[in-house]
Amino acid sequence: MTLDPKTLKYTSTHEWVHLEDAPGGAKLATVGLSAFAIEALTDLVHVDLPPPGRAVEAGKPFGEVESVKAVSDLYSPVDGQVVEVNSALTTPDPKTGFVNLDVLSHDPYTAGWMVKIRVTGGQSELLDYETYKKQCDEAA
Amino acid sequence: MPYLLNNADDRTAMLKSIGVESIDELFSMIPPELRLNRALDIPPALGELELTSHLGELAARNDPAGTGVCFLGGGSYDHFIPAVVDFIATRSEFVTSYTPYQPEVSQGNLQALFEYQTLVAQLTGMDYSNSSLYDGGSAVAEAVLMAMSVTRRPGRVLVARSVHPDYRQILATYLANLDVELVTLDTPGGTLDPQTLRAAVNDKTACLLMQQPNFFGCVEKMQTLAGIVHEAGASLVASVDPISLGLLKRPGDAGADIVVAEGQSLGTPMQFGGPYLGILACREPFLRRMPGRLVGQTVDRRGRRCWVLTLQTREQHIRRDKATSNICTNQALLAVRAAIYLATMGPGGLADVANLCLQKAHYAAWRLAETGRLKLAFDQPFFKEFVVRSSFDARSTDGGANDFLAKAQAAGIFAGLPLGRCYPELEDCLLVAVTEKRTKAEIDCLAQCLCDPLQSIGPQRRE
Repeated sequence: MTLDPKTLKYTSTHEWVHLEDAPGGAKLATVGLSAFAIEALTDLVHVDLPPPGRAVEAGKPFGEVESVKAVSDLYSPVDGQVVEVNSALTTPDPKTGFVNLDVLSHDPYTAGWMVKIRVTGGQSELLDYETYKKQCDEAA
Repeated sequence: MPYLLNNADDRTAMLKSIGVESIDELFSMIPPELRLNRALDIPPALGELELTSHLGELAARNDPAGTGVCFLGGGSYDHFIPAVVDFIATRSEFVTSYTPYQPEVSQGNLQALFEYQTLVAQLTGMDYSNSSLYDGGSAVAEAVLMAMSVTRRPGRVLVARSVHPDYRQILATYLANLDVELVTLDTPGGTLDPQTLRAAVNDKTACLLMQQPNFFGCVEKMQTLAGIVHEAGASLVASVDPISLGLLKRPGDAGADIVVAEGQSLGTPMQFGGPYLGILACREPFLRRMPGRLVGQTVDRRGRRCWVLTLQTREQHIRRDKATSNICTNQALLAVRAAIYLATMGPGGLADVANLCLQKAHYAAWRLAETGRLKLAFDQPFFKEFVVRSSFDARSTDGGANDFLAKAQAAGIFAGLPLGRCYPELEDCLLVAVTEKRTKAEIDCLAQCLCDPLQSIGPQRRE
């Protein structure tokens, strides 16, 4: 499934979220980091993501993204439980021994997703694409 | 020390250059009612000659361990320091440089610290070492915080009572305002009984903090303890004596996850208790929670080997309140001393030092015990330190432990550390440390001093 950034929702802390109906009636949230944030962080070296099963809370950190210049928290847009983690962001390349995070810069909205969360409660205030873009333009 | 000139002409010139007429004008923004309006209550200034004499007299009142015969231990040890350590470490490039903040500058310092990290990692059997912390006690506390964070079990920490009492106190201070239960496991037999640990560890436990050899000098069953801790999903934090690693199994090979140590033994004098060297090394999963500086090796754009500060993004000058630690400077100069010491000794040399300590400590224990007046407090294997229990009443001033110690000290012998302050049940006990520097004659003299106090002891002090 290819995600279009224009149809996604955003937090003011730069996470994007795609909400869909999951079997059993619950909603599934796919979460990643916006292209704007990834560009601002410059060269990324490490992503720390929670293991499947971990409970997360809207507005609270669920992981970390580290660049050569800074470490930033990743904030969950929803209350819920992590059901899947993008292993491409945590598995070292067998040849180099390092995790290749280029996918985050090349394809932040599809291949660069981070976690899938089964929504069990509320959510943060989410912005649509236009509002989020305006926030970024003002910050830039 | 630079000589700072500051006479009336200098002061006038300085005032003129900042555009004020007088000292009074300089301080005019301070309201009169807040000013002292009288001279400071201190003695008049001394001339250089008088000041030098005065400081000399004050310094002479010190009673440094290095001029006597030192059987003191408990975290600070009178080990031999080869001359090469001072020769290299007192180069001004090492002495005057502050810990690096620019990631790439000071290549010489970075290389020296990288060598230190490599040696510490090899010595401890860990994957990574940082480039040092303040001292052994703060390293203990930082290691426990790391374990709480990595295991995501911030609620319960176990510590053996055989860990250095000062380290336990530092840990308690670090944890005082966190919502964590710090449980001290009793060690009545001198070491931590695996059954005691088994009963205390649970699925909320972040780690066990143990010391090897422990504060009493006894060798803990580290591998067994590690197994119990890991079975419960907790981590093992081990505080070790780096000299003992010349003989004992590396803590990494015995199951430790984070290894910390007081590095004073590695080429730094006792110097009245500090500054000392905090060693901290860990396994790979703990790396990103490691506080302090870390030097990495890489290549520059021409492919030449070079060094750079690594993982600096987690330090406080970048991450502020979210830093892994806010007390994370390093002891660069003492780390360099440790690197020089370890490189000089080599694995064989370190094994020799450790073996000499072991042999001499066991000779001393036998000499003290054979008279029957003293006996070993614990029936455990020990390395270079041991606890002796006396038959005398330690509280009495006549013939008690303190009296012995005073007599011995008058003869130039620092006979040992009384344990009553930290272990009330060991009030009649002394902790005796024997390094490779102690001679047979000195040990025999200690035995005479402690076991036969009526006989007078001639002065042992070296001039």
